[in-house]
Amino acid sequence: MGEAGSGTAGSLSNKKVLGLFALAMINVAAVLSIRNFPSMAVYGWSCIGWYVIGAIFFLIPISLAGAELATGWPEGGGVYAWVKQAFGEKGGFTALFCEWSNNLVWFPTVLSFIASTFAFALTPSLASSGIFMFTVMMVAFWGTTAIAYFGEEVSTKFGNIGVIIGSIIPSLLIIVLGVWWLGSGAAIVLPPFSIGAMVPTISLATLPFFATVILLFAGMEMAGFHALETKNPQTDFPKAMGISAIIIVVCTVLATLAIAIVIPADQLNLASGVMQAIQYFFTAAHIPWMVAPMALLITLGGVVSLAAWLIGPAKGLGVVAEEGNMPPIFDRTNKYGAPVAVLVIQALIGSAISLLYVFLPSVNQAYWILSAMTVELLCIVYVLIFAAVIKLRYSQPDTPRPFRIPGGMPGVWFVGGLGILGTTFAFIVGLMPPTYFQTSGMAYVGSVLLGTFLLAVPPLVFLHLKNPAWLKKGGAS
Amino acid sequence: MTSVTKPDIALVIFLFVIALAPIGLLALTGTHVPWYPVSGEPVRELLDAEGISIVNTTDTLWNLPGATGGRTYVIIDRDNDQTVISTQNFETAEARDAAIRSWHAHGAGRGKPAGSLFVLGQQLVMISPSDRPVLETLGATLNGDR
Repeated sequence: MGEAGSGTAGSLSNKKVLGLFALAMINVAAVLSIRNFPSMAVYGWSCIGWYVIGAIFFLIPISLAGAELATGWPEGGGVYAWVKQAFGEKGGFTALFCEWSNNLVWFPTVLSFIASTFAFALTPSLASSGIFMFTVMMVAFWGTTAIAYFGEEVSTKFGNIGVIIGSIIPSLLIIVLGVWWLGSGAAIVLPPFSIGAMVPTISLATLPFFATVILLFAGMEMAGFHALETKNPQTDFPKAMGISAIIIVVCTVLATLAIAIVIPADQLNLASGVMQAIQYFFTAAHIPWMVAPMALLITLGGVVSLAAWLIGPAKGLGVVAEEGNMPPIFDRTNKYGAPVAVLVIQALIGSAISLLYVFLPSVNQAYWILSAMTVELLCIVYVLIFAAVIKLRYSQPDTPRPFRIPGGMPGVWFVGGLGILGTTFAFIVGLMPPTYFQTSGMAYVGSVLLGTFLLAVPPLVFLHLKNPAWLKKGGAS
Repeated sequence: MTSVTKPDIALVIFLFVIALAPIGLLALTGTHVPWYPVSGEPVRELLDAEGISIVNTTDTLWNLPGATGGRTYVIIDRDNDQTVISTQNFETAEARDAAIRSWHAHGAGRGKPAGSLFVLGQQLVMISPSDRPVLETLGATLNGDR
């Protein structure tokens, strides 16, 4: 790897390369996922209602809170810096570590999506080969890590181009085809539209889906990790939040509806994936030759999404290490300012988990528990962010914030409160076990909470053992 | 460059152990799902045995490599809620396992995949939506068979 850095805190990022567009694209890459569209299209018109719930209880609050925090404290570490300001190092480090560690469990699923979509572009049956799947997953994972290795400039260019080609263009293509379908007079498989049809069914059976919907828009804080490389953070962050939120909502809602009006619900069966839906869609539109190119584009979109989640929290951990909160071995940066040690450790752990994921496919309780853990860890992150934006209005009222959540104190309580309400509720329903598990509900809940605790607690251990020698000479305090 | 001490290395190992805890969980509980031929319609037999009436049955073929067809049963439970149970046979264990991976990879966002998936030898059984009361009855049996 590259030469070890020895700079001060902030040396991870000494080039201001990010403008408004790049910031917005980082968020779009992290949040906009074509992978979600068929799963949501199954709900027909009521997917609109589910998206509205996700927007009210999460997307809007996190966008506003992120904009205020990013402009008030445009520091390295993103979530870490924001929560640290409000609740100290323990809070900040815990929030960041939860965001990082939940990725380790999530990476194999997105890598598997990338590999199976790529297989679809070549020969769908390749997805049955564990060797093929693992090879593609590792190429995607280590390739993305390599891009991160070359620093912000390279990863930004890759992200900007990739998110347009791999996420936005495919989404727009699906929307255009949906419009064409409507204009052609072809049959619409959804029942006639009504306001009532948009209202989702809320019942005990659908409660767990609430947690899914809330976290559909997770990742809106991702641009905050790149504050040190941003040219004009105080003016660009709020605009980037707004632009990215609009792109994400428009693409997500319209593309989901386009799929829902064209593909019968029984063809969107939940065992099939995005490409099966796309294949049906394009075949119905008489352009089946577009399926393979579309698979390649969506593969790229998956890689870009992976890159956004892989690079952001790793950069945050790099800042934590620079500040002397982790042993110096974590504080290795290269000449491009990339946190190579964190990236390599992350890639090694992710590779090991992916290995089991591919070669030990199962539907047992362990997978449910792991999936629940990712939800719980992310909820901890967001509760801390929403709590931080409220707390900082009291503890640091005079800190200049070029963007403030409108409405004064009532406004920040309302926005932060909605976010806390949504994520806390998601945390609670995320603990609900499937009804058919043979183990008791308490054992399931205990397992999820224990796993969540294990993946959240290392920061407290690191801070307890913190050694002055961990802080490099000339480093930040 | 700052020298690396033994406690530092211990902390790195600690981080690895913690982060690898999920792997330990999988390794301890995740045995490979057995593959065996399935004859007849075990899900229908199970529904009949439980006295659950089926309101509609159709043939179905999932658009997945190696899928060879199955049945989709629609049932209405005591609360008048509709549940769809779809079965699918696969040519090989590899094709079935690929379908399981695909299901795991298609959860919306960070959430769990939609529906509930069970494995009966060469057959996958998908019950949707999740957490319907009928799952308590069917799920325990299907889990036990797995």
